[in-house]
Amino acid sequence: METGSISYTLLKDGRLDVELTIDYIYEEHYKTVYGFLVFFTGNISDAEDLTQEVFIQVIKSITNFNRAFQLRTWILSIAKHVAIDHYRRRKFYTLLNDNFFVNMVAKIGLPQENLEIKETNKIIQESLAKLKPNYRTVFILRAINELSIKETASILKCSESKVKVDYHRALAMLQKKLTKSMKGVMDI
Amino acid sequence: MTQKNEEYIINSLRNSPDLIPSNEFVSKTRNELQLRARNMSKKKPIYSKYIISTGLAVSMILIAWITLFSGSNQINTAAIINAGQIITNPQNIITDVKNEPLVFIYHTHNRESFVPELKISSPDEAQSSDINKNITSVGRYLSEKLEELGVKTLVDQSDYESKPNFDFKDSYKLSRTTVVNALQSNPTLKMVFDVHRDSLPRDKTTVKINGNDVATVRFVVANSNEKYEENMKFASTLHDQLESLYPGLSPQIFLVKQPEGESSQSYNQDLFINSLFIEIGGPENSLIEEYRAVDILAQIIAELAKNN
Repeated sequence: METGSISYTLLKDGRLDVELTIDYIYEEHYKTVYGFLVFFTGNISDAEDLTQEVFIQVIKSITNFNRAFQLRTWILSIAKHVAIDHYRRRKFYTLLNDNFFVNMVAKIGLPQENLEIKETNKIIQESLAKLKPNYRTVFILRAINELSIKETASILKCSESKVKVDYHRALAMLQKKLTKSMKGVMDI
Repeated sequence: MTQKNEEYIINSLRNSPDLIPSNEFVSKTRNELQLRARNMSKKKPIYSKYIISTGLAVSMILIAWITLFSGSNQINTAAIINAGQIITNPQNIITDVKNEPLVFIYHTHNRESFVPELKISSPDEAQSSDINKNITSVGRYLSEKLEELGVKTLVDQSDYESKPNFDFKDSYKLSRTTVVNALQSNPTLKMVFDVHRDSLPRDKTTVKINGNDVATVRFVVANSNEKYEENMKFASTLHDQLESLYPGLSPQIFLVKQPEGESSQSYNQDLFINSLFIEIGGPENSLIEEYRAVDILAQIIAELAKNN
């Protein structure tokens, strides 16, 4: 199936077949949701927990889903809520903890000459996970999830111009952080 | 603050291995969600109504039985159907294949393949360019069956991914050209099928028929095009026939609803009234299971193609 479409399955009597529908929704959207959350939280175990939480909320409210909206937009709004909630809960006791990406283990063994690139990529991910949550969200949605300005605005419930401004601020901050931490690693 | 910088950052993030969840997590979560969905549908408070109406129906049947047959005759309710018997009446098989093609088969996602054929373990990796192991072979088998049943069939075996600068998102644009050309050069075509396989786990894409595992057949209809009603009617005809013969073989018609506008995906169904997207089985089915489904599907398609 193509991603980004709205897909749901009806039983013969017209009711929604939740079991099958969630299967389709999960298959189509888990990568997007996980990708968003892994960059937002900056660690794999949180991303896994929150991904599951997002889809559980989808099950709970799928029968009330307004089919005039795009499914992906709706799911990502849930993901954003879950992520922000998580951020608020965690803020109290991990404010000074910089252990972002500690749990991340490279899945593919990289040859020695790639170590430098790997290191750079790690720094980029760390810097992203340290941005303010609203900048982080805009940046991930636009740059990684490749959403349009319009869709991003509807997920964040803000104007399209705010999306543009916040994206550029996020990018500028990211570049600033990178230049600081990458002296000697690469010429950026 | 150059364009290059922005591109470098974005590419680095997009290519990060961290973006891909582990297979273990993906399947664990899938199972967990299934469990929750199942529990939720069980909780639905529709039971009382359901029990009353069923009870009423049962008692009416019982009364009818007692009064009409005095309980002496046995009711032969079980109409047992064996694979193929019902529709392969010898008089329906026309051996001379007519020259005008009636059916066109193509594959937008032609590299969709099957775990058992590739000897791999992850359904996510079930992609192959080998036309004897990917969905192309299912389309080819369908065409052979249809020809055997007297329906001239054309099959397209394009490998879109081998084209330079291929982008998966453009698959439907590429296959659209295939369909447009086929329709233009073959005005006799009555049916057009885009054959895919599903991405669901095995238990959702397999049914037992007469002791054999058979791949399911799901029809997909997009509501975002002007031929939606005709497509839906066509899908319903095929779906109802499959379901009446083998309940569970065609679990449902899958309706894809999309917002109107430029991004809306019609799966090329706007090109022709009898144009359908069919998903036969999933990544964990074997080709033999796929072929068993095609054996049944071919008979129904052949019937319709010849009678309309």
